Amino acid sequence: MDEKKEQNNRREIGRRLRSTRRSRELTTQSLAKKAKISTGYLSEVERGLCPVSVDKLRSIASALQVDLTFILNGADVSIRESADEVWIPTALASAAEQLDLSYIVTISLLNGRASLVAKRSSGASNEWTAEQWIDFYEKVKDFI
Amino acid sequence: MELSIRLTEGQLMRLDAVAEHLDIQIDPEDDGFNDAVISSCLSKVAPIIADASATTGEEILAAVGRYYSVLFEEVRSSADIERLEQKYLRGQREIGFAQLQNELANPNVDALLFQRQKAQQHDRDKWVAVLNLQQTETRSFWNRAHELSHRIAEPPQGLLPFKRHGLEKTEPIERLMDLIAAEIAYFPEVFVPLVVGRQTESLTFELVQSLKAVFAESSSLLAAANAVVNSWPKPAISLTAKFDGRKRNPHKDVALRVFPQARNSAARVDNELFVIPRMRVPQNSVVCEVQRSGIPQTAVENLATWSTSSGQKLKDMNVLISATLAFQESIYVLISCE
Repeated sequence: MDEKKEQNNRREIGRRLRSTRRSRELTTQSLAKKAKISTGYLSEVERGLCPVSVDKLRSIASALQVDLTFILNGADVSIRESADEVWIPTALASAAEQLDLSYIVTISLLNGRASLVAKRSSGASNEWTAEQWIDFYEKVKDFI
Repeated sequence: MELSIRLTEGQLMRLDAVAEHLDIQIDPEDDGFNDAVISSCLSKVAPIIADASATTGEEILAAVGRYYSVLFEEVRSSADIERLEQKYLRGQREIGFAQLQNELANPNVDALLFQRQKAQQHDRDKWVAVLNLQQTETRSFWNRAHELSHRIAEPPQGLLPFKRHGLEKTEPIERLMDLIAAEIAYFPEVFVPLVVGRQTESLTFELVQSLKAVFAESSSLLAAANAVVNSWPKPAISLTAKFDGRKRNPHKDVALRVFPQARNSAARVDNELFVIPRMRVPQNSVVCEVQRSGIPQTAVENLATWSTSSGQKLKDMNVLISATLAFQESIYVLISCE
């Protein structure tokens, strides 16, 4: 394995560890304590800055209560698969049912809404209701 | 990220995505993350600005916008919204633009960033940033820099596992974008020499206005003042002042109080120059005089006359104070060591 590939591999593993740790709501200190390693070392491993032995990884995986193969091989495949999956908000699904929209039109609405990628505002905005999705559809139906 | 608050998982994911996009090896929760992000963004835009031979803020933002395929559209009236709907919704079948009218009806919305779905590879408007200038023009320059910061620091939306809707200005990612925006809008290699070239003059709002006119006319006065302070070679701070009460009891001891906005590196050396947030402005200060008269003024004052309610005084030193009335009865203040 060339150096660049090894570095990328280390960073992938580190990213998986960090993401799993956060999903468990653990701090680096508490995970390091559970895995019986130093906080500094764990921090470096998470950032992919240093090589890590399988034994150490097994210990961290055990502390995180995840399978070692997940840490080593990751969820790359499953992430790619889930990236292809489309999550349709409940309100949009409800609007689509009321309007009897096809799957393709529903996805077009979702993508159209998502093309507004950022909004700078001093107030938080809420998820759209089914009525708002219906209103949106009425405005754009001639252009889908 | 030099934050005392605990970040949520969603916020961390956004910051992780920034780190990955910019190839930064520092955890978002660690000290130095912001500096690394800003430094990386500056290194990305430096060659673009150099290639464009940009000498003003407007030219800088135009060059960076062109490079990142971001087109800015300005909305001042409902006619502008109609024009954009005609151009993008009906003209290019970009259905996302059907949201314009509703979104811009909210006066709290400063800007919207669209990623066009039907853009071609060579289109110069793959991203369209719509600036809401219906209430005020003052944030036009700043918001352009802010939206560009999103493009520079974050991966394209298609690569994000989450969406960026409904982000408040208080969000950590938005605050980070503001930090990047400040550096890009007033790109140091271009702006600092301009400011240093005027260092024989006094740091007043006249000087700030003059630099603003030369560098970025559409910038707000406060953003320009903060940028000048940050580039000023001698200790300087910028503040706003307004009537307010105590922090924990806003209705108690209402007085003209100051709120720090920017403090340059020279002011930080040995804590040379500082004010305490929310401290009251002395009645005999030129700041109070500006509040009473509405006329911009500048005067030399001794900071030892400034004290907190607990009796804590500022340093015994003469400083130049320049103040001018801003909107909503607040006052902008510059304090500098001569």
